[in-house]
Amino acid sequence: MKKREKRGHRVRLLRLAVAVVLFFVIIVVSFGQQEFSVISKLGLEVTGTVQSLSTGVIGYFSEILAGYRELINVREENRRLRAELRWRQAATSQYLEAVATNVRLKELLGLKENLPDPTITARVIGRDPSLWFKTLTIDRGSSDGLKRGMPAITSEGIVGQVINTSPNYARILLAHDPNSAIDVIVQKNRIQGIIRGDGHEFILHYVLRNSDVEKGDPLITSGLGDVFPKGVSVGRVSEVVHSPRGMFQHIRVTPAVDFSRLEHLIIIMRKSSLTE
Amino acid sequence: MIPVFFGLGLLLLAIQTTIFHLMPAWLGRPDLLFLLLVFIALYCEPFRGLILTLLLGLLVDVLSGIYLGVIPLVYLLFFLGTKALTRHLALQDSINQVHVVVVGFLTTTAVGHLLTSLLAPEYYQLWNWSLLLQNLVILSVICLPFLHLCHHLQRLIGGTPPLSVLTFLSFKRRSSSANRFKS
Repeated sequence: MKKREKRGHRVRLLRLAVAVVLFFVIIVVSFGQQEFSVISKLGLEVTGTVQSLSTGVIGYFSEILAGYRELINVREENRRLRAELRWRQAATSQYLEAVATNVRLKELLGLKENLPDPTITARVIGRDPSLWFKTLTIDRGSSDGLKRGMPAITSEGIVGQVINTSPNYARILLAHDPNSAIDVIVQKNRIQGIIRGDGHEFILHYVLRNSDVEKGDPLITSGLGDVFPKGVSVGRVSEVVHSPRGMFQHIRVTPAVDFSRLEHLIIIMRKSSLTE
Repeated sequence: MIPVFFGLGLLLLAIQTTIFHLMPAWLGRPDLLFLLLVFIALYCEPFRGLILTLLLGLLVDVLSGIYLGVIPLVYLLFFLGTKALTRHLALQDSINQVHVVVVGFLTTTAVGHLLTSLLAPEYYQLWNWSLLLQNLVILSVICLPFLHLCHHLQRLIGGTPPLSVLTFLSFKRRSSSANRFKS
């Protein structure tokens, strides 16, 4: 009886040891992969579906709540919006006229029209569960044409880049993550630098000490590296520190985008050297 | 048991990645999945616990971070370490559960950070003491009710076969006597 018990215990231990070794092998094989494996893609599909459902339910209740709130002062807002609409219509008419003139002049000059890259909108369905990385999940994936390296923006400015995709979902590395680096220029004098995130805002690197950068200066993407299109808003300089040593200034930048309130993004489907 | 706790883990992960981010940051975003891992490491049978830990680790790995493979490894090490300690120390006592959660969370976070730094020095990883301490306080406060809830769930699914939950809720069938004239 005791022998049988001992044997059973040994078999259990052996089974457990085999499982541990097997699991370690699975994990070690997946180490450091840049692209998602089939298991990871399946994982993102499963979690993405649950996140999408959860976001949908939250959105439904938020809309009901927002509806009640918006009822207050709705007449006054309606009047204001009508006035704004009239102004916008006038502006649009002027804009269309300017575009028509531009096209005519381009034709006259024989310039080749530069077509913009196609875009796709995506809904944010989840955020990074850890405290240490700044990523989010969107409801568009490789079946929509998304690829690693494609830039994500909003009407306010840059958001980040696609880092992983599964057929229906993708993950975005936000621009304020320390692993993100974007080439930018100061709009007023075209001084170039690279912004990196610190989890909350950006730090502008490699700006020489004698460069003229002041608090409040707007930054835009430089277009170098062929990832982000040129001229997208990045943020404004919030602090400039001239340290007595070193070649460069220490510059902090407030992002143009509020990363905590992102709901919808625009993915620019441009092929760059980073796009795989 | 594995599908139920895997489903619970998935649900907790969805809550952490969606609902918690809609709430103000000062309220904190506790790592509820870690509490589930503590429960699995303390009370689940080793083989099933191992599978659950790996599956949940792979899920978190997909949603968090940019260097794949570190989180499942850290979770697995935590599971094996806690299981080994449980054989010698009374970690399953309710007083010690708080210590396991606090020490375990600090250790797993530090090991994860260390592993990422060693395996991928080109990647930067944030380290924020205030967020870490806030998370620790919240986890230590909610860990006992959470683990109690998990115990209840385990009893519910472990004691009876899956479908008998329904019969448990329904009325008991009266045993009929062979003598139909007996009142």
